[in-house]
Amino acid sequence: MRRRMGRWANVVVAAAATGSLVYLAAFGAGPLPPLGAAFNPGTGVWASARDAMLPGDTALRLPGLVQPVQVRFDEAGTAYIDARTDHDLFLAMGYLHAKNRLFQMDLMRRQGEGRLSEIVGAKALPSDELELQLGLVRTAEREWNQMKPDDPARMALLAYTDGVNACIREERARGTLPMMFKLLGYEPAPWTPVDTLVIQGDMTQTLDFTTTPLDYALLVQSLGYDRTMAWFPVLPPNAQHPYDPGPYRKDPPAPMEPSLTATPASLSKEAFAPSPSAGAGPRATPGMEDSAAAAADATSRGAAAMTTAILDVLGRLKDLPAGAIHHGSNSNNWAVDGTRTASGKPMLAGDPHLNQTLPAIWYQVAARSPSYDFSGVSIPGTPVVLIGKNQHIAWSLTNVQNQATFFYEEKTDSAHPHQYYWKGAWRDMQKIEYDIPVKGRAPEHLTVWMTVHGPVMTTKGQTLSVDWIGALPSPDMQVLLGVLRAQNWTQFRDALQNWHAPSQNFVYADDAGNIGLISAGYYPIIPNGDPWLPLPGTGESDIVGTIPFDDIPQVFNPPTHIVFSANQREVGPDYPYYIGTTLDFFDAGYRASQIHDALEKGRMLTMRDFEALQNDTHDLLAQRVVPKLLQALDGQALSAQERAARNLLSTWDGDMAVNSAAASVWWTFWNRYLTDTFQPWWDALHVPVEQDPDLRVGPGLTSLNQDLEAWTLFDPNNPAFTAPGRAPRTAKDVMRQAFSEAVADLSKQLGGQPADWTWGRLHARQFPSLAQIPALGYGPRPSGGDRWTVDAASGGLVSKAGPSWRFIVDWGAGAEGVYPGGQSENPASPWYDDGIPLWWDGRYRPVWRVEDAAPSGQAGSHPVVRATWTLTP
Amino acid sequence: MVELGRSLPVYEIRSGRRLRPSSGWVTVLSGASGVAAVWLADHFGLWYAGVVAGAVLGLGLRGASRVAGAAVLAGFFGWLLPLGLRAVAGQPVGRLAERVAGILGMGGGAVSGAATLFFTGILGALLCLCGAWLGAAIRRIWG
Repeated sequence: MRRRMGRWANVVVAAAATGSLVYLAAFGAGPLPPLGAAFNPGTGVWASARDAMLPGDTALRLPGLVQPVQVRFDEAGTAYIDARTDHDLFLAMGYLHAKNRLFQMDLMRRQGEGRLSEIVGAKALPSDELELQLGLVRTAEREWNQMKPDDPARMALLAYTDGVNACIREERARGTLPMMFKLLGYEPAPWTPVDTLVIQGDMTQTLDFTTTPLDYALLVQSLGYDRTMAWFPVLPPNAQHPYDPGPYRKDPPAPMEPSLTATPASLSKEAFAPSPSAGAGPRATPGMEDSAAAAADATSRGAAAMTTAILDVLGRLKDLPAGAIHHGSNSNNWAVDGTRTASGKPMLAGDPHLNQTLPAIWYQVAARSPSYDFSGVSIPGTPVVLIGKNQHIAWSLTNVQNQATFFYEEKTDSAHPHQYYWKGAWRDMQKIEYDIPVKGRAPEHLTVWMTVHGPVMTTKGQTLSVDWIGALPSPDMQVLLGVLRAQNWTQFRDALQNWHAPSQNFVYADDAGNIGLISAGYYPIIPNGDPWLPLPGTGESDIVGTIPFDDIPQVFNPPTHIVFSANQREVGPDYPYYIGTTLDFFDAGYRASQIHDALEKGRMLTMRDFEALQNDTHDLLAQRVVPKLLQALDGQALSAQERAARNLLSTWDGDMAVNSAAASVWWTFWNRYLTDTFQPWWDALHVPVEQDPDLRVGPGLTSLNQDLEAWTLFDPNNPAFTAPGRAPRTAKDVMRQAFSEAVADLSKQLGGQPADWTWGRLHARQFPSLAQIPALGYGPRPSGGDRWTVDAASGGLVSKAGPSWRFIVDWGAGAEGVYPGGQSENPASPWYDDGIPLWWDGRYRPVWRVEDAAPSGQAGSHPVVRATWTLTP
Repeated sequence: MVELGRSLPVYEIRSGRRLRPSSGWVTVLSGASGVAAVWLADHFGLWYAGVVAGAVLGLGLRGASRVAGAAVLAGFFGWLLPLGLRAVAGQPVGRLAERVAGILGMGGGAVSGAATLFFTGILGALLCLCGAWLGAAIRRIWG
C-alpha cells in the first residue's frame, strides 16, 4: 500500500514538475518570454539565423501581383524594384519593408495607436493614453476615409498593405517572424492602410508637436512677461541668414482642413469605439479624474490653477518614448545651380537630423514602374521615398519649425458638467472611449473629451485643450506620390500645395538647371492674443486659417544661385506673418550661416565639397565668441592651467574635432557662461525647472544662446549680466568667471593637463536600439561635433540624434548617400549596422536607379548586384 | 526466509540488467529516435513535442538511468543538432546567439553566445526529461 502511494506521489510530483516547466515554456514568467516558443530550434529565435543570411538568387510567389517583378539587391542590401505596373511596385515595396523591418513597423504603429501596453505591459500605459488623447489614430482613420476610390494614394496604400500582409502570412507559416516577436511572445496583426497613416502621424508628431506655449506660460509666471519676451523673443536677436529674404506679400488667410470637432454644438457624448465595462473599470482621461472638482475650481482661474494644469500635462508628456514629440532642430539641405559647380549642372545635398536608432529610420530603395522611377530612402511602413530623386528632379527635407501646437484655456463651470463655453454658448464636449489592452492584466478603459479645439489634456486646475495642426488630415501620401512623379519645378510645387503637416523645407534641384526651396505646410493664423501662450478658448483666438500658399517662404532660381535651410527662421524680420518664436526650436542660425558662407564662396563645387560640408564640425558660435573671451582674459592673472587652456583657445579654429582639447574648453566654458548669466535669475525668480526640465538653463534653450551671443558681441553691459540683488557685472566679468570655473571643472573631470582634455573624452554619439535593448545598440563612441555644427550631434554630451541620412546629388556626376544603420533589422545580419563605419568616416555609397542595376548596365556605372529575386503572382 | 549467501532477487535483476550487452545501444537508439521526433516536431513549431517524446521514452523503457539518458539525449540534441545544421549551412548561429544573449542581459561575446546555445540544449533536455519522468512514473503505476 505504501509503495503504491509512493508511486502515485511520484506521478503527482512528476506531473507538477512537467506542468510547471510546460507552463513556463508556453507562457513565460515575469521578464522571461515563453521559452518553448522562443527558443525552439525550428521556429523560435534561431529561425532568424536563416534571415540573417544575405539573399541569393531565388524565385518567390507573391500573391496579389499582377505581373512578375524583379528585385535586385546590391552589396549593401539596397533593393531595386523593377515592376511592370504601379500596383506591383507598391506591393513589392510592402513585401520588402516587412521582410526587413516588420518589428520596427509594428512598434511604430503601436506607438501611434496607443497599443504598446499590449506587448510590454502597464509601463507603457502613460504613453498609450497620451497617444490616444492626441489622436493619431483618429486622424489616420479620417485621412483614409477621405481618400476617393480612384485616388492613386489609396491604391498605393492598398497594394502596399497587401505586400506587407503577404510577408506576414509567409513568415508566420514558416515560423520565421523576426526574433523580437518571439521574445515578446506575440505575433503581428495584419497590416492596414490606417497603420501606414499612423506611422505618417508618428513622424508628424516627432517633428511638429511642441509644448512651447506651456513653457512660455511658466516662464511668464516666473520671469514676468517683459523679461520673458526680451529673453525669448519672437524674432531672433542675433544675425541670421533667412533663405527667403523677400520681398513678401500679405493676403487674407487661406482656409484649412476642418478639425475633427469642427461643429461642436450638436455633438453630445458620441462613442467612437465600443467600450464594454469589463476590465479595470472606467477611467477618465488622465488629468480628468476629478473633473467635478476641477469644474468648480474653474471659476477662479488664477496663475496657480494654470500652473497646476501645465505641470500635469508636461509631467505626463515626459512618459512618451524618447523623440516622440518635437524637442529640437537639426537638419540641413541646400542646392546650388550650375554656375557654381564643376559639372555645370545643379547640385543638391540633404541630411535630415533625427533620433538615431538601430534599426535606422530609413530603408533605401529604388523602384521603377510605368508611372515612377525613383531612388532614395523610405520610412518602413510607408510606400514612398521621402528623400531622393527621380529621372529629372531631386529633393530633400528639413523641418520648418513654425508653431503648430496651440493650447486653449477652456471656460468651464460646475453648473455645466462636460461642457465648455465657446462663441457665446455652452457646448457639449465630445466623448471618445477606448479600451487599451495591457499585457498580463485587464484592459484599461480611457475616456477622451474633445472641444472644438481638440482633445482636453487636463482639467487639473484649469481645463486645457490642444489644437495641433498634426491632428488635421494631411494628404501627405498623395503629395509624395505627386513629388515622385514630378518632372519639373512647377509640378513639384503644385504637388506641395496640399502638404499640411509637418511643415517642411523642401529643397529642389533638377537636371534642367533649376534650383528652389519651399517651406510647405500649414501656418496657422491667430487673430487675437499671443499665440505663444495658452489662448482663451472662448472663440476669439481660434485659428482662422493659414498663410496662403503663395505667401509662404519660397525661392526659385534666386540671383545668389544658392538655396539653403538648416532650421533657421526662413524669412527676415519684415515677413508680414507670425510663424513662431525663438523658443519654437528655430535654430540659432549657426549651421545655416556656415552653409551660406561656404556656398557663397563656392566655385566649381563638386560632390567632395558637399561631403566636406556635411561632415563639417566647425562651431560658428565658438568662432564668434572665443575672440571676445580671449579679449576678456587679456591682462588677467591666470593659473598655469588657465594659461594653458587659454593658449589652446588662442590657436583654435573652432573645430569640434574628437581630438581637440580646445573644443572641451570652449564647450565647458559656454555652458558655464550660460549658467553664470542666467541661473541667478532662474533661482531668484523660481523658474520651475524640476517640473519642466526643458526650462533648465543650458544650450538646449536656443533663445538663451542667441541672447548671450548678441549681448557678448554687441551689448556687453546688458543688465541681464548683473544677477538680481548683486553687484553690477558685464559680459567680460561673467566670461572670466565662467572660464575659470570651466578650467576647474575639466581639471577635476579629466586631469591636470589641458592638452589631454580632448573633446572625445567628454562627448560621444550613441545609436540606441529601437527596442531600448542596450546590446542591440551602438556606442557610445567618442565623437566630434556639437549641436551647432553642420555635422550635428544633438542631445547633450552623449548625442543620440544627428544626420540620419546624408544625401548628395550632382546632376552632372551622380548621386550618393549613407545612413548610420543597415537595411535589415535582424541583429545577426551583416546588413544590420554595416552603414555605420561608412557614415562615421564621412564616406558614401552611390545612389543608383533601377536601370543602373539592370543586367544591361555598363561596367563601372552600375551597382554590383548580389542577388535577384523574381517575384511571381 | 532469506537464504544467507544469496543475493536478494531485486539485486539479481539489477545486476542482470547491468550485464546486458545491448543496454547502451537501446539507450542510444531510443535517444536517437527521440532526437528525430523532437527535431521533426520543432520544425513545425511543436516545441512541446519534447515532453511527449520523453513521456513515450519513460513509458517504453525500463531502468531509471536508461530513461534519463535517452531523454537527455533526445532533448539536448533534438534542440541543438538543428542549430548545428544551420551553422553548417552557413547561417550565422553564433552571431545570433551572441545577440540573443545580449537581449537576455547576459552580456555580449562568444562565451555568452555559447551559454545561450547551451541553455537552449538544456531547455530541450529538461522538457524531455520531465516528460520521461512522468512517463516512467505512470508506467510504474501500471506495473
